[in-house]
Amino acid sequence: MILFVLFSWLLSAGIPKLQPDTQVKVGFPEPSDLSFRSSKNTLYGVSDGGSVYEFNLSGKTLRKSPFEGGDLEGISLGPEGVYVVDERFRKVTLLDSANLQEVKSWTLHHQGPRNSGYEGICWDQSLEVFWLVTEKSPILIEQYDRNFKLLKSVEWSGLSDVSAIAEHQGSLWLLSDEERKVVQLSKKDLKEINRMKIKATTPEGLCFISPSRFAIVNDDSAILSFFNLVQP
Amino acid sequence: MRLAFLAIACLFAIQTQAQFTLTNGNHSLQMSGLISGYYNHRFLNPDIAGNYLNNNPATGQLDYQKNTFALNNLRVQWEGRIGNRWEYELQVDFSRLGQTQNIGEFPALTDGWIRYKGFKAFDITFGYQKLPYSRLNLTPFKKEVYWQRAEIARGNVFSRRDAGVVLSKGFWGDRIRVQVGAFTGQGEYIMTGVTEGDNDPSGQLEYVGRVDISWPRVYKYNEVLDTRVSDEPNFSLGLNARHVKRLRSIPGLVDYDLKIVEGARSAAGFDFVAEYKGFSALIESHILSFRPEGPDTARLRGKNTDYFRAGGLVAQLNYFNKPLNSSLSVRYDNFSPNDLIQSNFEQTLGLMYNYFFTDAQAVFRVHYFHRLDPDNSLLLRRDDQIRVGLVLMF
Repeated sequence: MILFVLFSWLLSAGIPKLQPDTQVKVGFPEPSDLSFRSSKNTLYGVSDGGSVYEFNLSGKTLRKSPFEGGDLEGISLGPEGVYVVDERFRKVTLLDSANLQEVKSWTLHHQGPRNSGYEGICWDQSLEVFWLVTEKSPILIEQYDRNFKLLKSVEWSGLSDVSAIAEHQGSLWLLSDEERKVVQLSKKDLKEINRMKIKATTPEGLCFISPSRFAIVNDDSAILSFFNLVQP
Repeated sequence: MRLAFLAIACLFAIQTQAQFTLTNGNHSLQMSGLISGYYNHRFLNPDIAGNYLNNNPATGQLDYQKNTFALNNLRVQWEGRIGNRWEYELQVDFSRLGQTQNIGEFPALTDGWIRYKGFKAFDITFGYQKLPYSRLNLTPFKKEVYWQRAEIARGNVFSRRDAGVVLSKGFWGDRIRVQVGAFTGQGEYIMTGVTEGDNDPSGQLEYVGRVDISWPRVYKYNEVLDTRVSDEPNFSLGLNARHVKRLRSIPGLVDYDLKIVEGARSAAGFDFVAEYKGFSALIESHILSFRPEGPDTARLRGKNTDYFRAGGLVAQLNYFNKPLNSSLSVRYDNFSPNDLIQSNFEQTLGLMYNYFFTDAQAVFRVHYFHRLDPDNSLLLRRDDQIRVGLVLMF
């Protein structure tokens, strides 16, 4: 056992770990994704319980949606409002950003494990497409048009799981809950550009709030952590 | 032998696919399954008479009937969700279909239940299901690292499944989970010809309760290995108890005949688990107190008492390493079927190695059982043995 452990540690080369500079608690349980509303400097969040929240950067809840979904795991601002994705029922729902009421929905057709379905969604303004990602077994990075017609689906294997996806400054950014890592990918060929280990417990949501600053929310503790890409 | 298994594993891995989920936007149904099999080899001691054919050393032939291949599981599982309120599950183990009397640990039907989550106060689960008792019991086999649960929790001493109802409620983000249930008390036999679906003549039920407290995050029942390689320690403590009274025992089906005993039986136990940096550990213990009646009073062995106790302990240490896709585990367990007899407990040391294939949910598993008291004539004869095999989840 001791030899096995020593040998294992030799194989486990460490990578630098990003530390959060600010942490606040959000006012709702089991947050599972984030999206930044730059016009109001607020965040949208979804909870495993099926509700959508808007809150400020101090974590204070500003409003809660009348809409109640199922197992919501991803959220993104998009061309027509707020888009949320339900992992269990493989459903994307468009909410009116004024009142967070359901406008319409699309059922997708990922057939993998129920609890390893869609974990993230993000709108890519430059390509005018949505990117969606599944958690694992396998990790699929998919591209959809604004009517959720599948354009591209790529199996990707750089992490043991993915819990969120974001598009930022020409790259895709993936978050891993199990590995507590953020990975930057080229949108063109999904090749890895960079990876960072982050200090987090159960990171489920990711969004950028400025060119070099991003936020991560932890599912279990509901702690919202802010990181700078360039560490002092 | 090992190379042959690895070759078979690679073949399986290429052909495997993950679970399938169908959904119409409001109803999702997942189909999954598990196939596992192993080769079992016992290291028989030629000095023990019981190891010979017909228990007779004069035959000169050791009894190697347990050195064999075994299909351990052939399970198919359907898990459904309808909206946000209804869940259901059906699970069948086809490897058990031929067994109706001596059902061992479980019958062919391993789950068949409906859950309603529409009440604020609690969720209610109705049907044939696992009893909320013992973390080892509640951990799915597909997440375990061994070929056989420890003696105290493998289903020979107390039932692991039964028909009944469970009310459950989570608090503090599910870090605290409370479960209470009422069951027939007939255990797995309620689904077999042993009871033909009938309760005990007393008509009484078995009552079960369990509380789990996890910190700092939820410690799920399927977390045996620290596959997250946690950056901070995580803990969970579980406390559980159960009580039943029977007018009729069901003897002759499991080791030591403790599962259904005429009279009253109360049990209490605890389990504690921790994980950090790839290490995980478990300690679990149970004490069962029997107040036998009728023919079962013979278990009191003429002593001036109206009760006897049985019980045991399991301690397990695991280490998981992601780069190696491997885990190594050491387990100690003991079990005493009757405390009215001195030196009456069996002890086993287990060593388990698992290799996790990355291109499929497949595991190559070795489990070595070393008996620490092989010559205790008061107990059932058990020998050192090794099991080597494959688990494939699809």
